[in-house]
Amino acid sequence: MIAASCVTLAVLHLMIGVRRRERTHLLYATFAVGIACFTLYELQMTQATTVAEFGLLQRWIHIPAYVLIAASIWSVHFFFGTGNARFAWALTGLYALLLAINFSSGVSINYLRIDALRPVQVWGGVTVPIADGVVNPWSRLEAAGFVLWIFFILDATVRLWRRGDRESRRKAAIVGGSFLLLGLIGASLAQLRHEGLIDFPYLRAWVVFAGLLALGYELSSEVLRAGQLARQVEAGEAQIRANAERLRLALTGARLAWWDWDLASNNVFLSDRWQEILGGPAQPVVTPFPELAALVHPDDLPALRRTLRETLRGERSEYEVDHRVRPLSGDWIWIHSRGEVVSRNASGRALRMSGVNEDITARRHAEEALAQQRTELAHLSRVAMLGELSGSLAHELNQPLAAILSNAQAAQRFLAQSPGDLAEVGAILQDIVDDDKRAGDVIRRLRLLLRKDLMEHVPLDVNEIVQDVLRLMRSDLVNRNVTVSTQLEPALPPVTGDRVQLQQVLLNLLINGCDALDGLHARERHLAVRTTFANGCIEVAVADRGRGIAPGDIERVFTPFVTTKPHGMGLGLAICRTIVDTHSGKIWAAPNAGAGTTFHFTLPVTPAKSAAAA
Amino acid sequence: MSEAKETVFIVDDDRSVLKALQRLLAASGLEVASFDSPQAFLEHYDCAVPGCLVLDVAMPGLNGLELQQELAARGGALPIVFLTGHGDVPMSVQAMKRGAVDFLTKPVDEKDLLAAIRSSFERGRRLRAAQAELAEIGRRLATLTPREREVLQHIVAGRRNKQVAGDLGIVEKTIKVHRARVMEKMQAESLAELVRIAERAGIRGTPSRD
Repeated sequence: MIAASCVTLAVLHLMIGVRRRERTHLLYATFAVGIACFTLYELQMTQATTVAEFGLLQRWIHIPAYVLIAASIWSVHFFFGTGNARFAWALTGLYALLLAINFSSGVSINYLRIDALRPVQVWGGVTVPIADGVVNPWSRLEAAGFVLWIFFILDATVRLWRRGDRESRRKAAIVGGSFLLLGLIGASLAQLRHEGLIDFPYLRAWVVFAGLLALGYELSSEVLRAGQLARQVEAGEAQIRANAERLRLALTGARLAWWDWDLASNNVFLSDRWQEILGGPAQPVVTPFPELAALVHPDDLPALRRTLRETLRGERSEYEVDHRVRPLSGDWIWIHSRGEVVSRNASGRALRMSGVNEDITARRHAEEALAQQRTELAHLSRVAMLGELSGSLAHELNQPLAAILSNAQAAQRFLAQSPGDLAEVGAILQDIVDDDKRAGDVIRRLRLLLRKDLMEHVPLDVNEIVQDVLRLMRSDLVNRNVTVSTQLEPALPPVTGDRVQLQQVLLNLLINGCDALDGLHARERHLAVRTTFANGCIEVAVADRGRGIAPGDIERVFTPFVTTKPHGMGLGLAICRTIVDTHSGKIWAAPNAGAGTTFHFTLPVTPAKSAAAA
Repeated sequence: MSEAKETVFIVDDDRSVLKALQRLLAASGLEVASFDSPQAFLEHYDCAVPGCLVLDVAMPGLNGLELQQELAARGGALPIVFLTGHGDVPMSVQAMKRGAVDFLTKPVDEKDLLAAIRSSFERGRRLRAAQAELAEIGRRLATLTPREREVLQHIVAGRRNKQVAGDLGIVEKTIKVHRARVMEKMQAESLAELVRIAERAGIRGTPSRD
């Protein structure tokens, strides 16, 4: 029965071992075969009738015994992975020596001589023979070998246990524990029989069989776990596939083209969306980098290359560039490209870079349209503002024209009266020239304000802008009986921006300031304009001593269509905020300690580097 | 009537305009005095000097209309020609109501300006003449006795001697004597002239009691 089970187990593990090319299973099969043979020999021995037959069997039983001992040593060694290899070899050698002794001394290593067979009654009324004779002294060496075997198992088990993880401890407890327990039982039984306390042979097969079962259990659960693992791997792979699918869906949904640049081959893999962006069929492509770069608009290429270089060198963590590319047909399209280096070698050299490209042409166009609208709105508001000032502007023009006319008519009279007085006429002509220039200046400033160009980015002197605007408003201020004091910080660093738009902001604040002074006594009709420079920003402040703004309204004055004036549109300050925002500045209003309101706006100064370049 | 030469006073805060106007008017043979602010003008102005004022409307501090009011308050009779950068209708109406001679828009042609100045001088002369006449009448009125003044008021009201005698409770003969005295003192040749002179002096006839 044991033998049959063993053979079944042996075949099973042999198959697993062969298929998986695993030593443990092959050794286990050998172990099982050894036990099977050993059991068959023991069975034969129980049925031996003559001394000679018994002795022969006892001698040959050591062959399967050797096999199973050696197999047990090496299966434990490989299964635990902790056995001492030298110890294992030594034990195997020792047992080989015992086997040699077995065949060269006496009947077997157990007996020098067997005198007779004595039948012994075992359970169930069965009688089995046991030998009576002279014990071979080498059998002590066999006992010692058995002790060493136990010691080997103990050593491997303890080492496995000490690894500390649950898996190892379970293995150690079940396999090592069983082997040790059964080994000890076996040793105790042998000792008891040796002492003559019991008289029952042939229990070793049971003992070793139990060990085989324990090891088999573990090996099987290992096989099961491997199966589980395989299923997990399979599930994991499914998960990865699902993730890849989700990623693809996300990329498709976000209309992003994924790219992966292998720097060794200098090839760029581009997902299907890329070809679609370029106006081709949606399919992934692998393109050499130079071919890809050739698609980029020549104006955008230098900046793109610079950013790429900096990213590859690790000077910047992320690569992010807007550039144009030439599609298969049609106009340039705008691409927002971003990515990062995903792997570097040990010396930090970039190996792979990956990222996404997005078609932002529509967004770009929308932004451009928005900028255009903003420009037009600002322009309209300027025109409206100049409309408000038109009376004063006419006055500004009329003054020099009036002077010119009177001067010219005076000159005509001089020439009619005393044609020789050319000195006086010369002086008059000089005045005419000066006044003409003055009129020209007014018109030039007006034209500038009425211009409708897209925003410029040029270095500007804020103080100059303040003075320009005050010149433009001079007549209006006189008409409205408003005085303006200025406190301009000398030698301000330049800001980058649009002269006309900044003039517009200031003009708006000054006109508002004048409006706030309506109905006040002449003494109080005063505005103060101040420029200061601190923390990298130029601040311009326009303070009035007017009626002030209700605390609840002071936050809202920049909101479109919110106005405190009876005929206001409520757009002026909203446009001012837009203009200041596009100049990366801030605009706000604050009540004065005394009376009135102060409007402030800041403009960041141009960094010294670009100012020098400009 | 001999008097000082008429002067054109120019007030404009724009110096180049001021200079050009001064040149033009001087070349036209006029006596010119120019000031670049109303304050400077008020400091130097002598109301005994006849002439006219060419005044810019928009000026810092005191504007043209305010200067007009200030001059009126001082009782001056200087006719004013306003100059403005832009024709502001309400402002010109106000200026004209307050007696401005003209309201001209810059740039102003010499023809218009000189015409306005001439009519200002004319108005100034008329004003001065009227003032002189009024002063003379006042002097004559001052020579009348209270009774003669009473009789004058009744005569101007167009009442007959008999009616006046009845009103005042004196005999008609005495009224006739008073009347002759009044005619003589007021240097009136006829009743019509007496009425005209009395009207000039703002004397209203005493209304009838019946």
